[in-house]
Amino acid sequence: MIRSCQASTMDIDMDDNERNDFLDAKAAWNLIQKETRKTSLQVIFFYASWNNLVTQETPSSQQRIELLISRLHQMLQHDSMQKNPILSISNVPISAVRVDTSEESMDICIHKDYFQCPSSLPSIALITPNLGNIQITHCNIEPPLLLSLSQLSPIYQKSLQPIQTILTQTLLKLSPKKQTRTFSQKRPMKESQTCLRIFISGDRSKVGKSSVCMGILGNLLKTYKASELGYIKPATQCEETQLITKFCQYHDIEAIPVGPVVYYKGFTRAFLDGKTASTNELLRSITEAVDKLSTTKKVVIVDGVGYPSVGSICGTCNASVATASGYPTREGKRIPAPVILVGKSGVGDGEHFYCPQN
Amino acid sequence: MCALYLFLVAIDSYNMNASYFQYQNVTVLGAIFNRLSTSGYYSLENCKGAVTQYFETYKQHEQVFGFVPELPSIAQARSTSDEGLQNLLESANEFVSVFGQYVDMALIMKAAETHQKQEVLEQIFKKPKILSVKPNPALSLLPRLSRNAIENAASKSGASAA
Repeated sequence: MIRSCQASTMDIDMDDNERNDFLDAKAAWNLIQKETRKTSLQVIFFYASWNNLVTQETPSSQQRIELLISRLHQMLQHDSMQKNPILSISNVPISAVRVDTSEESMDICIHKDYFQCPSSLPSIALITPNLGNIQITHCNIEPPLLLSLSQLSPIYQKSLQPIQTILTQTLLKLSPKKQTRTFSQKRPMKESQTCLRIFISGDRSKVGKSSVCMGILGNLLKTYKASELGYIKPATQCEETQLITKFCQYHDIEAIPVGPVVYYKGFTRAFLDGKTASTNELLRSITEAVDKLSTTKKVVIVDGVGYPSVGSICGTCNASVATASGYPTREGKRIPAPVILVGKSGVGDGEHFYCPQN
Repeated sequence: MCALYLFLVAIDSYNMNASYFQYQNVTVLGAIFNRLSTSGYYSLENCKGAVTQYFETYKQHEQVFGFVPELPSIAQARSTSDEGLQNLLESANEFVSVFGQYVDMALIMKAAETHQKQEVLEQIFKKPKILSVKPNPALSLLPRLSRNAIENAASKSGASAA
């Protein structure tokens, strides 16, 4: 049987006959195994019938346990810990187990497979989950520590420090790690997400992707202001000024027509030799550029390069670039920008694919 | 060479390239066919019917947004230097105008907005799509043509000899 100040998580049913016998190691063990999956830290106080300060202080067993748990909270939480919410133990379930309730209880408490046998009583065990297992750290305490802290001599109060240190370390270890801000989280999520992104890819080279981008932007000017539109060609093989660049300049459409990734002469060999930015760095630079442009726009047209797998040798094929150019999620992931494929059909293409024996 | 074969080239090419994106969980909204001839057997109008029919029949979530004719002025402008900026811009504006006539801009925006709402605002992550072709029951009722019949029909319509 187990009692706790955290009734909602640790209390278990018991009838009146059991109330005087409120310590059952097996039930405690079973409950801990169950609760450890949900709870980051639990504290169990072990004691025995001969620990008079626990068993005889008040007439009611219920009151004794409640008082005991209250004091344990008080003991374990020193002043400096109270200031840090991570180190607060107010929500840590504390349970009490009397070791000598029965022979079975004794067996469980001293068996190394269960509670790993405290060396002396009373004792406090910190129960922490450790890679799916339960890790138990015992801290023996002096019986006078169970008195009200105001009644304790400074020597006894000082003896609490090792327990508090272990508790602090455990709480710090189990506290959720601070999330590192990444480039995608620096900008307002809402604005980046609201901007419509469309990726234009070709089914082969020279199908007129940039012309299609220009056609889309030019027609969007009928319903959007130029300042609400953006154009970017995040990866390119061509650094010469294209017609769309001049078109955007003329209409005051913000454009990034070259890069940030440029497949210049010798780039791929240098990439394979590890002499250029890595794939992640290249994609990150694309994400940064598209996000920055999207923050102040309503529609951004992302121009692809060549046919879909162009750039795959560097891990920056059009699908990867569409993903890097995609919408940010709150989880820090990317939903790829949707693609419009530009195709072309005609005699030339037919001849290219034509099989002579037909 | 049969015109139908050319349409299939466009569709096969589209499917191959779309599957590249879809395999990597990138949504393909549809296609724009660009630089199409304005006359002859391989003209825009001839391509349009077959490709549109294919998309309507087999592509429930992808659409043809338009078929854009080849404009000589824009083809020339692509290779022109900075000189004659005004001419370049006139060519660009002409292209934009033609593009607006042949491409359904409203459909593009609707598709992009729908994608954004479904995929982004709801933050649903897609699993890679499995490419499949659903047979159209109506088509199975039509009489089948032999290869000769198809080739003859194509030849009569002006297709080049194989």
